[in-house]
Amino acid sequence: MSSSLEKNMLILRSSDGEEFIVPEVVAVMSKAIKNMVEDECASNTIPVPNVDANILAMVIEFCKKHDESEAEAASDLKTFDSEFVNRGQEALYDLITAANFRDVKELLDALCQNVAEMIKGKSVHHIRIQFLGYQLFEILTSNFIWNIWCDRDFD
Amino acid sequence: MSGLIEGLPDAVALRCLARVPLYLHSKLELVSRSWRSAIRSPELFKARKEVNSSEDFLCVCAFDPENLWQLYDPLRDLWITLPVLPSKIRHLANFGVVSTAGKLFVLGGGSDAVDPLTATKMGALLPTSKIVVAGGFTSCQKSISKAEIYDPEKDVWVSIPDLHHTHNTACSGVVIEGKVHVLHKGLSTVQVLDGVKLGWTVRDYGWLQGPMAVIRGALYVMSHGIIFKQEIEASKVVVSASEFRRRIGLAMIGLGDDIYVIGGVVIGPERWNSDIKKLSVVNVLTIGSERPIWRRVAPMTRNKERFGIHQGGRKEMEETTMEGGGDHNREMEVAPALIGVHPTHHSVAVAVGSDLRVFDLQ
Repeated sequence: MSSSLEKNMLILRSSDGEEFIVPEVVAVMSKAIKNMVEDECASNTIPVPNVDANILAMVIEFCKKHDESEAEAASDLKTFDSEFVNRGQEALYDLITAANFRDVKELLDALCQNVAEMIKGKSVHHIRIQFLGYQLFEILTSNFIWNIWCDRDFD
Repeated sequence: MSGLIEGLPDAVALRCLARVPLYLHSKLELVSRSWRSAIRSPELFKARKEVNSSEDFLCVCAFDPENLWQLYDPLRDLWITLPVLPSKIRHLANFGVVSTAGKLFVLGGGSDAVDPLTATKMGALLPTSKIVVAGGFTSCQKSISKAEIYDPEKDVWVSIPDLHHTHNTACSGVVIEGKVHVLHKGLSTVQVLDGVKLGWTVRDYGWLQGPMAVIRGALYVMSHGIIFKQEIEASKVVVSASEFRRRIGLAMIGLGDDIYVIGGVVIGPERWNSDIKKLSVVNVLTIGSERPIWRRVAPMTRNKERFGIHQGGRKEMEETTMEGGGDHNREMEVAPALIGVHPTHHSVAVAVGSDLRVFDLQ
């Protein structure tokens, strides 16, 4: 990668103004950035609105790993993925939003898989608490029959 | 559906839900109304395909409990019960069954009890996307030679050329190397569908008779207590299946590399003994290994993992494989007619009562 010429590097600027120098091959793992590069409407510096430095650094780390490890064993990458996505819910959602918005398919897939794993191991009650938040009140009070029905947890 | 997961766009939330395996769907439906409608939506089915998380299931309907289909999940070795089949006929039997495009099609069929009014008997078979139905019995127990093809996407039936002959025995259909083959019990000939316009060719292969399963395009037959690989001209012994010799009415089906032998009944040792034992055991044979060995997996269950809360609610499944009646408590000399799908997938054939039609899908 060090052999990459300057012109093969792109600068990504996060929403809070921090800049990251990234090889183009890594940056274009985001379809949104790829489109911009292909349409040549990107200057050297590409703004990445809605994504702060913290999250952007994580996304870049993920993309770099995936770019480097193309030849590596798929199982290694899987381990990396599962460790990478194993974060608190807030960071997870920020990452998902970034991956979705910038269209980074591999990252989005890994993150969604992680959410699915979280759902899998939980009871109905815990799913409601963790994923529905404010809706919970609404659900529990919306009507009586629904309440009875809701009580039929499976576990 | 809105606000599936707080803090995430619905499109993304759906991609997350799509990665949850089907056996947990009944749990997810209880979370909230929006989750329930998301789980039941065609969008989820599409998303499951997109993220490559669709699953293969075996669909089995046993004699008892009547008209109740169950899914076998081979990855997790468990059974999932579907909503009851909405049929007016009790103990629907001798139907044709096919699955494609995430749906299970149960075609025709009649009552095992004598009930001439309702008996439209026929069999069916699947290729990739279209269903061919041929032969079978009319409601007056007459065998017929008509054939039709059905396109599930367009929901249309088209007639194709009739079978060359019919026979007063059960017939079945298999797809081998992309071609629909129709076999009648007791006949040495096989009728092969060459094309929707070309119609059927009769071949006298003299194939073995017995329960059949297709694995990776090759036909396997259980005959005289042995599993054979049936090739065009010859049959090769694969493995002994002597433990099934006394079983009647078992079902045999292929899924992936495995042959499943499901259910059936064993009649007591004395010939006139009315001691009929219904079995729910499932034996599996993995083809492809050097020495195939039988193993047992979870037996059929009834009401565990109930699928869907409301009876009759239609549920889309992922690619399902099909299977016909399991525990029938008498040998099925009667009924099923048969069909298959056209090799080029341009059409499907079907028999409806005394009417036979083929659907041109082009």
